[in-house]
Amino acid sequence: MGKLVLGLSAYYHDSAAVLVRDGKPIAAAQEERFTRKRHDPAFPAEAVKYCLAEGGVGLDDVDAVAYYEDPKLKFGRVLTSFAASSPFSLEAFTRVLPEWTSWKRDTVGRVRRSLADLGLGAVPEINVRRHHESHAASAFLPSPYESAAVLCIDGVGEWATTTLWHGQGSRIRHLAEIRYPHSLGMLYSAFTYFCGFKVDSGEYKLMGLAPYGVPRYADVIRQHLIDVKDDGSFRLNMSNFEFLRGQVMTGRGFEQLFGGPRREPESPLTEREFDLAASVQLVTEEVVLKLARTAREMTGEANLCLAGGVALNCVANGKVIQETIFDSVWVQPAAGDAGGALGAALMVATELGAPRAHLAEGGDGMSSSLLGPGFSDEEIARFLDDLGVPYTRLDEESIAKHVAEELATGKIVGWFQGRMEFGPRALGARSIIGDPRDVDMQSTMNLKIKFRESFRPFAPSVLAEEVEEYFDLHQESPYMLVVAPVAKQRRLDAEESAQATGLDRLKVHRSTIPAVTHVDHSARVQTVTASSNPTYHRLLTAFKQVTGCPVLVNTSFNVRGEPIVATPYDAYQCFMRTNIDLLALGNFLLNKADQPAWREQGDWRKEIALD
Amino acid sequence: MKILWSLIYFLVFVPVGIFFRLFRDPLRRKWQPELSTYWIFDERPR
Repeated sequence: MGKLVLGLSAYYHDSAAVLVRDGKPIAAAQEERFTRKRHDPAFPAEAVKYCLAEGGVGLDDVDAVAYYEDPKLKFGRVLTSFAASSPFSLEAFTRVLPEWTSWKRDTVGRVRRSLADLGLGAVPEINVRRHHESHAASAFLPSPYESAAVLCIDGVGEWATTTLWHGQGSRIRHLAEIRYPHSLGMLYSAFTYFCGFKVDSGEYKLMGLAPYGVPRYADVIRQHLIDVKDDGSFRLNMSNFEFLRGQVMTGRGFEQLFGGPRREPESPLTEREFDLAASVQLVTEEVVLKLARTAREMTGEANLCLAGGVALNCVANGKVIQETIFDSVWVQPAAGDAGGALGAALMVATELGAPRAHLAEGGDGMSSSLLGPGFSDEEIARFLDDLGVPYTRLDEESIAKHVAEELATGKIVGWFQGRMEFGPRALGARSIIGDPRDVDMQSTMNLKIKFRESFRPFAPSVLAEEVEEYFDLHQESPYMLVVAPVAKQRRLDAEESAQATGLDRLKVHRSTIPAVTHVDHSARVQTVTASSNPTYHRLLTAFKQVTGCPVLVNTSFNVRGEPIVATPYDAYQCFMRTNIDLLALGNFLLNKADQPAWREQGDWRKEIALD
Repeated sequence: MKILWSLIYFLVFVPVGIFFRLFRDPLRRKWQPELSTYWIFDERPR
């Protein structure tokens, strides 16, 4: 059967479970997809059950459990932080410490009991790995490189917030680190909070907002908030942050530096927020570039692996690639804490003797990150028949052709195919798809499908063989974690009024694929190959045959604040609640016009917490 | 219960915090222009 390791992350945000067999991930999922609570931090009971079922095993068959961080070390950091920030942290102390002393200190015991409660067999030995070790392992071990520099940047785990490693063969050697409270992730989250978005959730909105602004606060940030050395190492000026002392990220320090209080959530965005976003994004990119150069100098490697929440900043990733500091860059698709479960499991598997077998095959070891639950045509047919709704059953070729023809007429399609993605991005398994040539597609999708803010950009999927025709990108980006400029030959000579600022800039038609071209001509690209995702590749190919364009708009199959759909029921519900025109569930095509009226009690929009 | 936690805070954490401030800040909060790097090299990662 091979050695089996179950990896877990839990109790902060994005709980997840991963099952690794002989060093290869065979199942992985975030708990939120099952419980329908976004970023669910609870013990990942449903994800564990799924992983074991997918592997056809029970806990008795599992050789080891790997937990993604060290609770004891983390508790030490919490205690130290309270002492060091006294006497100004009483409120947070009385709120946080009882939780730590009652159960968090013994997180491993709680994990053991929670696993036992599943009734799936005897709980094997639980191995604890450090937070950044887990990130580093998730970045390097499944990467396509025999050796590489590894850079992990996030908010915080135990103490480390930024770490540098050297991966060689199956070994990862720690080289250097920066410790809490000095954290690039915390800096970015502080601005996320100050601009009125949710911490640990709205950071990608801030990144999307940045191109609307001018980085006029960048010098203020460099002078008053972060001291960056030439080698990229840094310290924050803690007198201007509140996260050590209390329950919020920023306070009077930020208000004095940036001319007033933070933006209230859901209130209108102003030039200040655009400029703050542009400024912190610029400074973040400067630091990441310096860190990448240091990684190159310290390791001498030509390849870089990235993980940690900041590695989800695909604009910064794109800059690292554009600067050609490394020959090649690989980003772990589940770069955030969910991926910690994977890294911990891979690290333990490697210690048990598992090889990095994928290296012999040439690609990475992530199976295109399609590691979640899948549903057979028989299961989907049974679901639709039980529901009693009309559908058309097609074969693989004809559903791609039919959907492509509908897309070309401006229809929006829910695309539910194969196994669900592991990580925050929809990669063509649980996606909403549209025509990128349509000038109204961006606002239609934002306002009528996703019910989200109008400023947010959409990402393109492109046939990998055509990527350079449309984007200035010279390496693969299979996980949509790299931003690249739209190719010059696809841009239009758009006349932008000199007075156009902020969201007015959205109205300018900038390229032949306007729905996926951001206001700075950038796009968060996903390259698709026939080997990585044949079904999605078939759709892109069919769309190209119909329209001549090998690009589609790809956004996650959910509405604002909701986790990405996991099951046919989730998909059908989202399809009926929104203005999606067609739903492709495996080889079954459902047309909205043919469906019976959708009725549910109450207003579902009020039940989904805004992100 | 909150009173008990507040007492622990003022009787234990505040004195320890003052000690930290007087002798060595475990959070290394001060900016140090004289240093060429803030990296912590070659220890077991924390």
